[in-house]
Amino acid sequence: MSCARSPELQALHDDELAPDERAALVLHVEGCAACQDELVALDALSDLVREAAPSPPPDVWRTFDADLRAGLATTPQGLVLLPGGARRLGPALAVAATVAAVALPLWHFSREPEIALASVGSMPRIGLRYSEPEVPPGRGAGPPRDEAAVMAALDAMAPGAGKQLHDHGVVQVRVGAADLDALGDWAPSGTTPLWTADCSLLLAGAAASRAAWALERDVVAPGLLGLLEGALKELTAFEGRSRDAAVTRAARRARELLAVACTLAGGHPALSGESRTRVAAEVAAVRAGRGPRVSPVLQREVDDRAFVPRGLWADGALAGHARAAAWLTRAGLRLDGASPDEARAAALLTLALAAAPGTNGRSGLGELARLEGTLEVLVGPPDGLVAGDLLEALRQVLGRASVRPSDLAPDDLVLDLAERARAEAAARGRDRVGPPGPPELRLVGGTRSLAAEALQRLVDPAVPGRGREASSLDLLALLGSRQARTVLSAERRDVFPGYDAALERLQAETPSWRDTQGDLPARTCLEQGRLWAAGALLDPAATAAGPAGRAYRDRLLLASLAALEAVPPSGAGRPAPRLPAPLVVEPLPRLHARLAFGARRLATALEQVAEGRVAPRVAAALVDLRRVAALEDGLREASVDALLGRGQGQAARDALARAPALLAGLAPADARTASDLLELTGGETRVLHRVVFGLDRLAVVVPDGQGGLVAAIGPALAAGEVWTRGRRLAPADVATTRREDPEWATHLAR
Amino acid sequence: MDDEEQALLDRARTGDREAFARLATLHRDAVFRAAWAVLGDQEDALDATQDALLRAFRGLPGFDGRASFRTWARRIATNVAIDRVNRRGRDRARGGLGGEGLPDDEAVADPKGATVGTDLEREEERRLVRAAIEALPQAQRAAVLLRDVEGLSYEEIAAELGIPRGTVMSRLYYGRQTLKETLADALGPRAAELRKARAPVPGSSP
Repeated sequence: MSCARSPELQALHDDELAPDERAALVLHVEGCAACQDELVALDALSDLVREAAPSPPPDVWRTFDADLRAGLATTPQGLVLLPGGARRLGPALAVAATVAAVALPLWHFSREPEIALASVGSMPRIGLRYSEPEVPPGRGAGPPRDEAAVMAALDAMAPGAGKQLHDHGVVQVRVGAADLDALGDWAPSGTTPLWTADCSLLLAGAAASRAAWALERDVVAPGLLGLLEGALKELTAFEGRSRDAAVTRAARRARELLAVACTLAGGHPALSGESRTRVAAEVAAVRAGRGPRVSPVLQREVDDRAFVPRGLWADGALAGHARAAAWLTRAGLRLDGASPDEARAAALLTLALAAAPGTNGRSGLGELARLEGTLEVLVGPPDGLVAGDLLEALRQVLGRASVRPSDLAPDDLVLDLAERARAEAAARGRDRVGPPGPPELRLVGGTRSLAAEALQRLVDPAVPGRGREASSLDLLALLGSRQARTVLSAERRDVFPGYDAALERLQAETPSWRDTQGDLPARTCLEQGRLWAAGALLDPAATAAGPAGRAYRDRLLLASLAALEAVPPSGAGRPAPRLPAPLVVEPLPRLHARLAFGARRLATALEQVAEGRVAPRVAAALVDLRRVAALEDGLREASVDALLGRGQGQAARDALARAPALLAGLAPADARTASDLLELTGGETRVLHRVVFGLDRLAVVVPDGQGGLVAAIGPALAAGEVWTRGRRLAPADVATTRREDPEWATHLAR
Repeated sequence: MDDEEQALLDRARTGDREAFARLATLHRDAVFRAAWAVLGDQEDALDATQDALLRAFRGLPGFDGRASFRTWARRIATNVAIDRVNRRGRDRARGGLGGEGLPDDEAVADPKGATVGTDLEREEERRLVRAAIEALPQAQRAAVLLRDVEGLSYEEIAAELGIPRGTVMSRLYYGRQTLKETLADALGPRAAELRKARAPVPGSSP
């Protein structure tokens, strides 16, 4: 036996009720055997759960403690760059210096992936040496030891290069593919592709988009339609029972709102009279997708172009659902004193969901919570209040656990609800960035579907309403970067001062860059700059003031502006590259770490929402995501290797060996170069990966953190730029020199 | 966090390893439980705890103190644990993240377990409860454990998980209902109370 109020007992059991609510519920329980049983069961359950939590015995902890202390003894504490360029070195550094061990950078995550800062040993002297330890016979005699010779060689390559090296400790040298041969250890054809950070973004973005699409198609779409139909039935019942004009009006409004979504998603809600006409007009307008108009249902202005499905969502099977979801995310009901009708409608909507049946014995609200959890993965946390919050607010306003529609008649009650809702929204939104406004009830997810937005940017550069360029930020946001999401959804870049400054700096640099490059399209510069700025978002050090921060930003800037687009397209129909190891990797380890983390997070979330029943499409998406994560891990290793100027480690090589299969899986065999293409093939959509080959490589001479400078191929790390065209960089040109540059040494070890 | 802890934290920030080790002692159970909630295996969880605490030490300069040290360290442990699971691959995962099948958690001797008599029964009961907990979807499991084991309020859980209070309540509710169903069948006499209170009706019109 059971009682309708059983679900409320949880709050009683957890002691989360206000005194008067508590008193009222206890009164009920005293007279209700079913509730008494339920309470006893909750007690028993909580006890069982508490006792089941494992706790290692003391002797296990003793051993643990000893191990921990041993571990701590050999663990350096991090280095922090403070604004103003001041550095605070932990005493750990002093210890490490005497130990004379060189610590390698350690990359780890807390809640957001953060790259841990590593310490270095004593301030090293900087030398210069050839990076690849094995020089194939006949290709060079090995490094000379004459500093003057190095300077001369560099100056011959490009005027001022020697001085650059002297002044800044690093120099960037651009070499031709043929030159790479001379340095050995590259594929003889000289077509080693350059993998840059945005290649990773595209790949990860493609996997994430496919996963999002699979999720919406197989989990969210069916669930949503069922939910809407159930809630509509309940609303009809409410309307029929109500005797109050205001409540009837509100019920009608809520019904129309849901009916639009239901119709768009393929349902057939029963309506009559004016409602029917209004809903039909609304549905037709949304489907037409023309432009701004006044909505008969929402009674405010909407722009129908916001509901046009794009990319994967233009697929026939999902287009209706995409429109319905877009409608539900944008058609918020305002919860403020100025719109009591809407507040009532919102409350009725919530009640209808609570009453409607969901799947697997859940109520509609439970079903929505499940969908909400699913959608949270895709669109992030909700921006407005969701139904569960509103129900809570209702209960608190009414002071009891159950609410009837007729309770919503008096206006002052509705105003209280609006006030309560505003307080909830403010409390919840305290860490959020965004334009202030009246709280809104949004039934589904946040204010945008990031997957759709990210993808549409890849497809359609002329997106109405924003005019933004193809965006690495969108992809980063999709993969879980909260900073990126915040910037996108709020456009409050002043929260991240590095971002705007980075873009401005880039725009200032761009003309001179283009002069050097010739015909580098501005759009590409902007995209690369956004990537760089995104890097700034991920790394607080990038926004630090002072010379250290500047130097780091320079490094990021040049890493992003790696000259991909300088290569003329090599024509269509080129076979997909066989990517030989070692792959040249651009050093943005943090970005790769972020992408690996994001892909894993998304895969984990997919598993959770599937609740043990993973549909085939979702399963395939899972595989892709995990492979991407593994690849990004390898790229992270490789970029660290490149940063430190050592040869590519085994971990990196192993992971990179998987890259071809991954690319083949996510992109057709005939990858085109130097541009992003989106293809619709047989209803499935794939994003082609941007692969470039036959391209001039960037080589750079950098400190290796061990007291030497290395000529490392690929990474664009420099305080300035030096170009050479077709000049052969022979191993004999590279020599050792000595210089003290603590700034660069410690910088690089990060 | 109280003054003594704050002092330990401050000293740990300057590199005092002894202080950090003592701080770790205060919170290692909670960190361990966070790792266990994901991994479902005590030995793995111990390894992950060790890993997480070392990372916490390394990353201490970056800890801004807005959340409590315990919360922060617990999050690190959760991420470490998730990484481990993913590195190992799904089929070898020991039941964490809502996987199928009962995990084998006999690797570490259970402190409350003995080998004779009614203790054996309780030990078995605990194993079953643990298995049921580990079989919950991650979201619900986190809510239930934070509530019943860590004793956090709904507000605190909401802050910890970054979700609205309403979501906390619904996850708790469904997690507990599932556990009740699972355990009412699996457990013995102790479960009589659970069985009696089974099968609530779907919510009728308010």
